[in-house]
Amino acid sequence: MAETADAVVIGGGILGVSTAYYLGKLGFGKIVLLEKQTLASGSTGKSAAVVRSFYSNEVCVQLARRAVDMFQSFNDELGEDIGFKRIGYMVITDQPKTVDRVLELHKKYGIVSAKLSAQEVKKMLPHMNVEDVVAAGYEPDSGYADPHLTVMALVQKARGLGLKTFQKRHAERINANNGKIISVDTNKGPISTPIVLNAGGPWASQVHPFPDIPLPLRLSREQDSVIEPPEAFHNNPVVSDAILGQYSRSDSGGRLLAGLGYPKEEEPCDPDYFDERSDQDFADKLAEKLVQRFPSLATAKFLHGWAGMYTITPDWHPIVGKCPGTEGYYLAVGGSGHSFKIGPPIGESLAAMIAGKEPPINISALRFERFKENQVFGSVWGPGNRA
Amino acid sequence: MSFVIQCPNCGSRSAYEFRFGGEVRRRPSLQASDDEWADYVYNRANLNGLQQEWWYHRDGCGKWFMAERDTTCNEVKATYWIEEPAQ
Repeated sequence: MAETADAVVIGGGILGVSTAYYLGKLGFGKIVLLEKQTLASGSTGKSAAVVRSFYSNEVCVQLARRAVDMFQSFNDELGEDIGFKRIGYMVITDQPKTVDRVLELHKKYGIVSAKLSAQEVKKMLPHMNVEDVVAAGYEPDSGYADPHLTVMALVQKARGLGLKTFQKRHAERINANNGKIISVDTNKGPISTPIVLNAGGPWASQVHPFPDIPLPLRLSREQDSVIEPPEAFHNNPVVSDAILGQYSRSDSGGRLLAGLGYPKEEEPCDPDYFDERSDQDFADKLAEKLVQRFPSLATAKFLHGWAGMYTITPDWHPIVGKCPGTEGYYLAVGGSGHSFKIGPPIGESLAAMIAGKEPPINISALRFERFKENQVFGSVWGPGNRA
Repeated sequence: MSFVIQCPNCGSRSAYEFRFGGEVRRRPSLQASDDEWADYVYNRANLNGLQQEWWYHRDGCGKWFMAERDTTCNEVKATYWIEEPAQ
């Protein structure tokens, strides 16, 4: 007998898994999740997984606020450790007005944060060179999570709610009749379903069934590295350096995870064949910036690095919601390098929308139609994933 | 699928030797409105299909040139110096 489902989720990354979990929580019926490779093996698993609420637009601030609460309570809710570490988040800048704008939004939505002077930053992090720092924004409740553990914990819990997950099983074709979803062909047989969520990340365009409505996504290879710093760095918060364009955060075992920040140098790539190692060029560039910011890192040891992918939309914000002009086809794509943290709250609100319920957060600002309507996002930081 | 770019100077080379300079956009005039400038700075078209782009041969001749790449399959259909029109 042919396989059937009430909804098929394509993609075992944070967006697909979160939506599947919250659909399960709503008792939506039989949900099948298809993962082409293994869970969290795409962009999610390669993420630095910073969880912060430093955003300059209303919808992301609300999502991030909810995300911080979720990540703090996931250990209890999901019954598994998701590796959330509350180490704090700091953005340093020479443009103090950008901090003011974000803090205004934080005040509105009850997020604990403060504006720090360069002297206050120096007091917190004596090993930082602050000569070009004019101000900083600081949030004590933020930190980072383990993206792999987070996805596994969500899936584990969702399985208890009836979710069926398949790995090494991918959608070959989504079938629609006059824009209405009817089934998904996979490499292991078809599945009849009235609802499909495309959360395929860098592969989303490959399975998108409506060539007349192309997804405006571009891919960029993105690298991170791990270094062994002196002891003074063991409790470093996330430091996002908007002046030099780099960021770092402490990692387990006293290590430091670091990468380059805005403005991003983009590198188009093929999602099925790209170099997953980091390269020397990247390490050199990063080292120069890191040592300028933290002179005592000059003797730190470079341990390893890797490359993942960003799926970027025209305005660096994800596309979430029903695909216009279709029926039963939903999108959660284009994370643009900052959607690990907002993945769970996006999944929660999207699941409510799919189930015909009122979403806890109004995420209509992320709708696909915004590009046509010219209601796109700007950012006080300029284009990039700092948003 | 390999990702190869034909540098107008050095010939076909792996894309990893190059730096991507983004889609070709027309810079607004100095008199343009804030909205036009914001659009120029913030937004990209993200075409699906043939897109005109800037590329820089970082590990080669060190020259900037233009390329027409099919963004859906990374096939580079044409490359040329900035002065020349597309073939």
